[in-house]
Amino acid sequence: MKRSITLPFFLTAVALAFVLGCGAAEMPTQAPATPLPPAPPQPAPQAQVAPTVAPQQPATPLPAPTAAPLRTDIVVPPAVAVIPTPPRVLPTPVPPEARRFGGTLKWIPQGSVASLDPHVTSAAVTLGYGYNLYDTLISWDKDGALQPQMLTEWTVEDGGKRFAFKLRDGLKFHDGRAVTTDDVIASLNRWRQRAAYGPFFNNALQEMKKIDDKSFVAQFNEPVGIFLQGIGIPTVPYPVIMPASAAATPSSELVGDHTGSGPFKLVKWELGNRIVLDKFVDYKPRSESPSFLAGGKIAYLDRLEMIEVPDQETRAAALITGEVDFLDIMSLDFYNTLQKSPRVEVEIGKPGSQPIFHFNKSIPPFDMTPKGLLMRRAVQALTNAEEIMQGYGPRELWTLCPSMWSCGTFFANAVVPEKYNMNNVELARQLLKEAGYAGEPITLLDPADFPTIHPIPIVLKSQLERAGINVNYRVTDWATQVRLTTAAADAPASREWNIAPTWLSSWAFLPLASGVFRSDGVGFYKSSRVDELRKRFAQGADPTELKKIADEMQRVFFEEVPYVHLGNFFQLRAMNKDLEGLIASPVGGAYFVGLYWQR
Amino acid sequence: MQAYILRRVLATIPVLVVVALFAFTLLRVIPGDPAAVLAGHEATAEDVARIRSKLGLDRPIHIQLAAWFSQLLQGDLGVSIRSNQPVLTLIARRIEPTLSLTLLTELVAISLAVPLGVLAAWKANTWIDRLVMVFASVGFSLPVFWLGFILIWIFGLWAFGLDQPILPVAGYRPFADGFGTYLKYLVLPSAALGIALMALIARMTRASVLEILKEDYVRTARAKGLGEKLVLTRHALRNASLPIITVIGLGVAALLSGAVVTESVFAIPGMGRLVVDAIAARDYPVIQGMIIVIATVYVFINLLVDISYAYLDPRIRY
Repeated sequence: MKRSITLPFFLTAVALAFVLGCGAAEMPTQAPATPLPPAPPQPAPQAQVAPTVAPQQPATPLPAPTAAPLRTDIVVPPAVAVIPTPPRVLPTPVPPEARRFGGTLKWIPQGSVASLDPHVTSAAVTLGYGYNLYDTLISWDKDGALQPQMLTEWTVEDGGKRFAFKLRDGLKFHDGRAVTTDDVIASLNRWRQRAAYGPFFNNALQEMKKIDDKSFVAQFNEPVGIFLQGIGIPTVPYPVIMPASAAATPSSELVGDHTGSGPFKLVKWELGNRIVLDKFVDYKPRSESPSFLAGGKIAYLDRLEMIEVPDQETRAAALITGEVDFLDIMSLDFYNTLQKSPRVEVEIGKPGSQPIFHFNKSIPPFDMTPKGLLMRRAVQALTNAEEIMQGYGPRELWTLCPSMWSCGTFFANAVVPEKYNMNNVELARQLLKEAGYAGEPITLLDPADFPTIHPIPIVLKSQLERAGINVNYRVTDWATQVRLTTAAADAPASREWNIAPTWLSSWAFLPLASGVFRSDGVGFYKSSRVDELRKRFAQGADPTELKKIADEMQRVFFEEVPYVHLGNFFQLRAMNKDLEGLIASPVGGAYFVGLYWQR
Repeated sequence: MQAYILRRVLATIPVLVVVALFAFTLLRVIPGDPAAVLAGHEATAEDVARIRSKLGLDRPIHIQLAAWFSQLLQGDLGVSIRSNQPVLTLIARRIEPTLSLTLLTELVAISLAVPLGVLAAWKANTWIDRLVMVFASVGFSLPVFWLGFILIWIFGLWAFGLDQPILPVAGYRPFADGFGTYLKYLVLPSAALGIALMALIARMTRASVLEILKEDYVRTARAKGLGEKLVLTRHALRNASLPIITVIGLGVAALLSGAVVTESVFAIPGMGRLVVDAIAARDYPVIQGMIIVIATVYVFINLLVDISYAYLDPRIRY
């Protein structure tokens, strides 16, 4: 009798466990989220959908990118221009009565916030705080054009060697003090130590000199139009203005004082848990309508409360249940789940990020020798980008792009489309033979804890092997990969890898911001041609000329193959449907100016 | 007893020294470089070298070790490479959530597991016993993170068909925000952790009590006419408590060290998450500091368990 009861009980318990487990089918199981490493900066604002271009077809012109050209009033030499105020071409303001003030927004960032110092941190989450906490002298509008933000005007003088700036009235820090040029100069001096464009103007800078509390000049030895681009750049390191006392912190250390002058101020920061920002009621916005980071920055929300949730599944559940209102950059795996929720609105950010894999060019077989070039071209030939990109989920979440500059951005152009997504194994084998490849193992890294990189090597491995390459597949974590790929050429660690996958963003539309496509960057690339083109780009300002240089850079890129780019995957954001007014940020930082509760 | 306690406390010093040496050495052996992580993946080798120098990581290993030991002797666990905040401050902030989770989990687990275990032992080889043991086996076998997701689904997403979730699915609210709110955020994570711990304690309780129930003095107690309740609580359970206390102690130590998976699933800002984030970022000072703290916790929990033996069993004298 006892045995006959025992067995049914046991089976019932087991069955119950399985039923409960299977009942959670809507929630894709996911291991606890791994902490995000410092993310590379993200691209400029563009909501254009890039077309899918079939491989190995005659060059198909891309649709005209919607990004506005660089400002012609920074032409150097010889023009001198005063930027008109109010700035040009911003949309009609929405009547204030149509938007509701007040309320709290609870949101979850894409990763842990280790620092709130936008000058020195490369993390995208920190960039988002930069947008909300701080202000900048110049901002980019949605078309990528420069607009004054903290300035009333700027002038370009002396053939582009001298810039004069004037601050607008009413600028205050969160502690009530007025913003002065002392603060501005100190902030810019700190920022430029690690600025992406710093190498192009730091050596030429003679001085930044205060004229009075609202005016200052920057004097250079030579024309440097890129300086204006740099002090408005919306990526990390972000050129925010902070009090001079905070800016006195060396750029090798993190700032401890997070006083800014932006539309929100820091109230509380519990490291690893919560950050609370309140609306800065004394912030004086510009009168124009907002356009990305330019125009009037109006904070409709009273409070922003961020909580860190490492696990992606929990994040999705928190939004669906209404515990939080906004998710910044979710895993693409949750696209379907979030779309199904009646409470949630999903936003797909474009142009997104650009997955690539790059070669270790300091050692054979991909070194900077003729044979190394043949090997790199072989891998370029065998790459089936579409097959790899399918690892990023549904088709609407990624795109192929034959341009090395992200599709949908100003410089995007398919100059050599036949060398993208070639998927030509025969050609690859031929090139391998010419290079004298004899089956030596090639180490392919896989940072398995990085969800947006991990899909690349999994598929690439089989493609390499298909062409006859002997792959040593090394699974590691992100921290280890960074250690290996940033090791000096004479360090043993630099010889432990041959191909490393990663993804890029900021420089995928900003040709000069790359840490990869330049000599002595990551991957030990050396190219006098690229260096010359970068120099010409830094000195140029005419948009047509800059486009030609960018096209030439692409030709060099596809010829010398320092790395192989695969396409673009987009950014998934989700929010409560009652929220309106989101200013789409194509980069990884959440921007809450203009956002309001409908009810 | 005082002499015993003093001897045990002094004995922790060499233990901690060895643990510190292991922690320091092993961290330097594993691949990864905090300077490289801090510099970012597009940094040049020069950038990384500059940061390494700034952090003092380019000094000889023995110098770094000596410097760290010197700091430890002054009670200073160093400064986080990632956030530039004192390690002690970071750990101190995480103590409340971890302690809260530990206490609630233990409370739930002990209050349910011990009676269940006693019941199973009392009704050994009956369907009650089988049911309790099936529960123990299943509970112990279920992955905590899976259980966490199930609880999130039941009480959050599904919520029995209600419009609102029954319990919050993520986050932590400190005690200062109100006891009700504080407790609400701890229910689900405590349940997820508590089920596994409950299963373990129930099994141990059953096994211990079953052994005691076979003893002659228990038969004598019954023969004297004592009720089963008194026999079980005053005689059996008390004498069976030593191994139960040991298991409970180990559970407390493990929870205080940080229930990493549960903290990640439920977004509890506890010590487990601190150490995992630090490992991913190769934040050496935080990792080393946490290892020292965890080792200290284990050592003192063991000491408390040993001391409790003396109170529970008068035959034990140190």
